[in-house]
Amino acid sequence: MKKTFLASILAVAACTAPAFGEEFTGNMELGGVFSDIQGDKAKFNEYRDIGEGITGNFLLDYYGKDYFLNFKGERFGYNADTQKTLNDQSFEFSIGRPEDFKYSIFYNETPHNLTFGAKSIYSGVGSTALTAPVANDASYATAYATIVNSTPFDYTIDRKNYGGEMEFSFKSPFFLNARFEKIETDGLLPLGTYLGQQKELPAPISYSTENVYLTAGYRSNNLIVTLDGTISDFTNSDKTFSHTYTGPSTATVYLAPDSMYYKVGGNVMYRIPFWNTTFMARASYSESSNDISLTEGTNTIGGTFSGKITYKTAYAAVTSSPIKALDVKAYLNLLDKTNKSPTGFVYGSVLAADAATNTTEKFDYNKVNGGLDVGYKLPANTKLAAGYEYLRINRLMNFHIFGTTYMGARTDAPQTTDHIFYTQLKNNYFDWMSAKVRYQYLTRSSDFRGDLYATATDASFFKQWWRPVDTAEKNQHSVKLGVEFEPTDSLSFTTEYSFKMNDYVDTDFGMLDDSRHEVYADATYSKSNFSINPYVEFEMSKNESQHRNYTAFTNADPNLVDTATAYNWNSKRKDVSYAIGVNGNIDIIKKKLVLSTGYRYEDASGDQDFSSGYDLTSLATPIVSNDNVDNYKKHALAAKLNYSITKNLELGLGYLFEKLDYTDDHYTGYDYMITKTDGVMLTGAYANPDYDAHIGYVTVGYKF
Amino acid sequence: MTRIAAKLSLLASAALLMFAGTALANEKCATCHADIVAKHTTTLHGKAGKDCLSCHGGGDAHMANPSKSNIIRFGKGANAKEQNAQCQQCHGKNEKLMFWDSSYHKKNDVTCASCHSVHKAPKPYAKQPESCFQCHKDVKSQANKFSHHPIIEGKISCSDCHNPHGALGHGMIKAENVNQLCYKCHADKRGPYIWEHPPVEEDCMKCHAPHGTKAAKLLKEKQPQLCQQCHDWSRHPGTPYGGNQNFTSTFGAGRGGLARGCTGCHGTIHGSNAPGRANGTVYGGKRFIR
Repeated sequence: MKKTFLASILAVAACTAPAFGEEFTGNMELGGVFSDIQGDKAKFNEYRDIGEGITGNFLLDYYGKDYFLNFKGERFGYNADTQKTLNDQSFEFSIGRPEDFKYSIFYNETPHNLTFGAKSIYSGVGSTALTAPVANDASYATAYATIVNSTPFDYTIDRKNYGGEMEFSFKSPFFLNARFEKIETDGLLPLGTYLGQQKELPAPISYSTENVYLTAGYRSNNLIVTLDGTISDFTNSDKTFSHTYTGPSTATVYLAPDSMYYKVGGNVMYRIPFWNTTFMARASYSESSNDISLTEGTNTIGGTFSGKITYKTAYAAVTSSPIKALDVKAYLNLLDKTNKSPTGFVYGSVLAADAATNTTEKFDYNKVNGGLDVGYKLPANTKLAAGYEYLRINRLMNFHIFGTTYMGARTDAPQTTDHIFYTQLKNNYFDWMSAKVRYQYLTRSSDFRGDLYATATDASFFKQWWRPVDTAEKNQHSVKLGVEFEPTDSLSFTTEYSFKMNDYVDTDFGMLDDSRHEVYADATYSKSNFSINPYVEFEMSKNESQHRNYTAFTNADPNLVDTATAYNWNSKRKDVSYAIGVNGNIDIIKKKLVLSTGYRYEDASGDQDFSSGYDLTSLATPIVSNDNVDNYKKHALAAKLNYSITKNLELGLGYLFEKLDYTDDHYTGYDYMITKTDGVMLTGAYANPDYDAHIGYVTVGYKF
Repeated sequence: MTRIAAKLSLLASAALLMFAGTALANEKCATCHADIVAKHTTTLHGKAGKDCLSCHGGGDAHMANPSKSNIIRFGKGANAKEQNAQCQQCHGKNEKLMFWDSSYHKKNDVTCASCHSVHKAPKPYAKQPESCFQCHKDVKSQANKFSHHPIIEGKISCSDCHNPHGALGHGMIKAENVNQLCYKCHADKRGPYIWEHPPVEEDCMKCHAPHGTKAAKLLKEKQPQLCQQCHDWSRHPGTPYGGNQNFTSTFGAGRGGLARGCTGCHGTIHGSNAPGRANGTVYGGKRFIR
């Protein structure tokens, strides 16, 4: 595909170039890369492809009296380590005439590397049939040896996105835009499943998505009307895969289903010649659907599940400025998501004991959102703004409780209603300084169905006290302050502080409160041959939550005395992260020798403390605080020296250093493994993301 | 015939005068602003025949009295509405800008020149993500975190998801809601699934922060803590997982040592098409186990 794409572009460029004369500008850069990467190469190259080899970029522009042409290529080249062309390259070619037409084609490749060198007990990695070469009851030593001697594989996916776009207006108020793209995603991802014990399986990924976007409309300064349509066809070559070892002889794991999606919509913008008023609106309808063969187990709908989900949306906004100092905006957003798939059928076991659990559910929701914003300009370049926003979400879900199926709302929170108020003051009286302060208050009410959990002998009895964080009643306060200060043309400072806290007012068990502080500051100093930009970022978040551990249903009541088998426990989480960095440029020899540098150090740490009325350290499984929750330190240094040999020819010498140290108490000892006789199998995905990388490169660039 | 010739000559004269006027205006401006005028000719605006007066106005009054007050200025300290109105004279009918009046950027007095450098670069396109990071410093910080979308790697740009010129929804995203935006690239998550996970269906951002997070997979919080914010129930969701419950502990790597978290077993958390559960077991799609 890449070769065809490049050949097509070069052919078109060669044919069209004479037509445009010689008014081309652009640049071409080629370079050699030298690398020394110790540790996790996958994490270092998570979304890129840096290794020994050659790489380059180019840009070709033509803007003539009538036509334009752009051709851009980034990160093309070859990686000698992988012995493949770079898989983070991109190309884009476009040609057209302003306000008349434009054609473009593009190719963009993105890797996502997770872990290199994982191991599994299974053979057939990459296929849809994973087979354990040892028996279910093989000794631990035999099973472990099988893993150790297995061929390592990489958890990585490669995404290729290519297509074309056309825009036509023919210098008229009418226009038509069309875009086609295909996204191909291939590779392996670790997928967790459970079959007697935890299994970490290499799941084959082979997705293809074809998208077509069409937009047509009329545009003028006061009226724009558009109609748009989208068709998206998603195909997964591997809808299931199987694995053996422990439990049933073969188990099937289900991957993403095929689906077809379409959307139609329309927009309008009308500038009303009254009070500088603008009316804007959009409405859309979309539907995603599929047919899934129910090939395993039993079901009560005849073997095929026909899924269908629809969205209906409508948005409208009016902005007005009746007097010069006053800006007003009113808006209303409506959204309705309906799941029209079959529901309430039994899928799996139809044994009486399982039928209730195997009865399918589906989820719908609708949303009403509206608000009013008012901004008023006060003297001394001061602007006062205030507003109100309303958000109501209804969640509808059919559900069952202990064998009885109900049609109704999501049981824990069928409806939440938010009221949001804010005010903001901004001043930029002086050209050299501006300041902003904003306060926002949100209050959320939730229509919780506690009556459903009134039976003291049910496990769900505890839900009377439990509130999930996403729908719990809360009061939220947030404050934001910002100052920009520019004492001279060459010097500027920016600082920003924000604070947000949530108080979950109706929660006895669940998230009780959380807060977050953020501080950002930077400075920039620039003279004709020198610039420097130091910065600092600081973030701290905390939360406290209350939980209950119990097994016997009769212990669901949290008011019971804490025991070793049923106890309330409290968690306090804290995360602190900061980053410091500096970017700089200096013309060592003016317009001849330029040094560009950047350094960033990032430090993140987290902890979790536990407490309880029962002594948690005396439990059979003692609970101790976790001092390392996703802790990491990262250094990144980049430097490049550019030397202009002539006006057009440039030589570059660059260096990149990155170092990552990661630790988390929960990850201690994690590797590819099979644990004793209980059948847990782990492949080593994400095992140790630490790396230490030194990259050097030389480039030759030509500008024209 | 004579009448047609006369009309044509009139048109030609008008065109000549127009271009002469453009050249003359720039020439006059160059007496004080030589560098900018020289650069302007290499820019797209310059090549499109726009002279200094097209955007700055002023003209003779400014020549007679060179002052910031008798010219339309762009940049810090200048009136945002006035600046943007100048740009909208030509760009106001672009359908990509049709919801500008409703945008958060307009509401917060962001000007076109805040992001688009008209004089300095041949193309006035905003450089992403750098331009966006100038104001959105929290997003810059998130985009550099341990887990992030490939924004700083240049494989995703801010405008892939957001329309900086205005959209009617929250966050100026380029879709009706968050999920429909995410499904554009992650179509494998859109289902429809037989077994749905309601928060997934409602809003991807209930669990994920798209710009970047400290926890893996763009999760707002590490597992199992994230899941325990909603699932506190009998057995393992209500169990505290201490710092000693790692993979080398005596408690095994099953439910105890959950560095990979709940998705170590509940891997199909976005939805499943497996049977709810097989006879007498709990290993099924209803609990997103396979």
